[in-house]
Amino acid sequence: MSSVIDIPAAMTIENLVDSYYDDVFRVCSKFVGPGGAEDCAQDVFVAASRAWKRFRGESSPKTWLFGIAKNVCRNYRRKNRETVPLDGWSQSADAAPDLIQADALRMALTKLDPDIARLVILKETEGLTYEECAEVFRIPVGTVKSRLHNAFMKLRTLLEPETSR
Amino acid sequence: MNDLKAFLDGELDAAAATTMQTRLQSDAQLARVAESFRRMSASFGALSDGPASTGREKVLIAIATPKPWEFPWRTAGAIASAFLLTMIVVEIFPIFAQSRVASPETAMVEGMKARSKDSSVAAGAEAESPAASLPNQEDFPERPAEPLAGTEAYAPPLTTLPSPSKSGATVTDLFERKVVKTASLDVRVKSIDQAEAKVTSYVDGVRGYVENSTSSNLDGKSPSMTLTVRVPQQKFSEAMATFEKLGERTAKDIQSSDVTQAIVDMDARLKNLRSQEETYRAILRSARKIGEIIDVQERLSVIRGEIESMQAQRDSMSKLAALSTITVTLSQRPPPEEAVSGGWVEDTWSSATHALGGALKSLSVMGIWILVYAPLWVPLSIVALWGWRRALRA
Repeated sequence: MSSVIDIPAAMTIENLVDSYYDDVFRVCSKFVGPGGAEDCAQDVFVAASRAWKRFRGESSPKTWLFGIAKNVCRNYRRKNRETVPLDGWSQSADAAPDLIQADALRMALTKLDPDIARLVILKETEGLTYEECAEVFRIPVGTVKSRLHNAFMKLRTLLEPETSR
Repeated sequence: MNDLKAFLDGELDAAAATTMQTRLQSDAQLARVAESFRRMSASFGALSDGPASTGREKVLIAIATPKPWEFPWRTAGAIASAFLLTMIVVEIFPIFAQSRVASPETAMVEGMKARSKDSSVAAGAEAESPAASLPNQEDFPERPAEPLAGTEAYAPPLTTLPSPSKSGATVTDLFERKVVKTASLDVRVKSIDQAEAKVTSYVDGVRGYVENSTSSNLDGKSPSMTLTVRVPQQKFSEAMATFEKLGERTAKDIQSSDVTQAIVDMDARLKNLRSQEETYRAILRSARKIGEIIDVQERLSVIRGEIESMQAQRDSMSKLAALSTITVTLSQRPPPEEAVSGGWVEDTWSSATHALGGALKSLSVMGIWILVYAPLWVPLSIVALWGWRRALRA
């Protein structure tokens, strides 16, 4: 976590938008649904442009942007209580038939603490490592480990009929 | 068990992974949990049909547009809050400090009061005292409401009280402090007549009286009046405050004298004289010779005179202590000189420069206050800003 990543000196905030806008938009869409994703993504990059000079490369630009996205989406959700994580997302038609349906996952996630739900989404749908999750949430890796385990135990209980099929 | 999820995600080191693998082979329940975890992970991972990204151009425009200057409300708020907090602490702290200082004294007084209830000799002395009819405030040494260092004295601390065993005073006497308070106050007022009416009205209201009143130059431009008033001792501070509000105070002098010891001594001497008087009366009743009778009567006459003289002095001193004397000198402000009008331009210029001077003075006063308190509010502001930015980053 303490290692410093080399950021190209010529890299600008515009380059950041080009490189990571889709990722940020996707994450925002998973956090708050498609309705607020564009606004949140815009807020993320506006905030990033203000803080870009202070960015010291202690994490990758992507996890740094995800960290900002997490805060922006948290604030968005406070103003719009009806937002549901993973709203509008579904499995592809050729997905394995024994998978748990997206609706069931969505409903189970709403039962979790919002920050825990975001952690699960980043880990499971974006494929972040535990260390990257720790950077995004600014928590120790051990905490990421225990939170994910506990979250899955709770999801298992919530999704009992689907998981036991 | 807590490492199961990390094991499935490949986040365990080799040794822990081997251990977990062994457990999974031997524990069917754990294996079922692992299977459900895998299914959930696979289900999350299969989500793919999300909405396509939009708004990239808007973002580029938004970050290219320079942010308009905004008043730093948060910084200003933090500084103002810190300054306000400092002022509150500075204003409130002396109250706590005062209460802490007062506490031991109050406890001591309460303790001595409690002991005085057990004293069998207290009742007689209390009944004799003219002060017994006065309100309770007089029974205890009272701090003045607005103490002026070195000028306004109050009853000395209890530690300086005369020893009951030496003076013959009872424990109750300790709390019947007799303090003669005198004060003089010079006030410049707008109207002598109105101020005099207010003084008289106040004095009547507190059951005091105007002892003396002299005036001079009442028809002139600067009339003045001196009123000597007597007010109950417990109303002394209130009366001073009331009179000061009549106008602009120009001089103030307060003096007090503790006459408790003198009164206690007089009581002891009176008791002794009365005892002598009784003895002589007994001798007189049993005397048979004319010479003896005349001699005893002369002595009785002398003692009776001493008793009456001393009793009069004692009563006078008690009355002085019961009613404080305040000499209020009222002087009327001279009427403003007739302004010689130099036209509206001069008038406007004059009033504008006057107002500017006032505004600059106010700003200077405010600046000095802010500067003086800077060691308190500047660090607080820095801490508040640091905390705010840290919270924002988090």
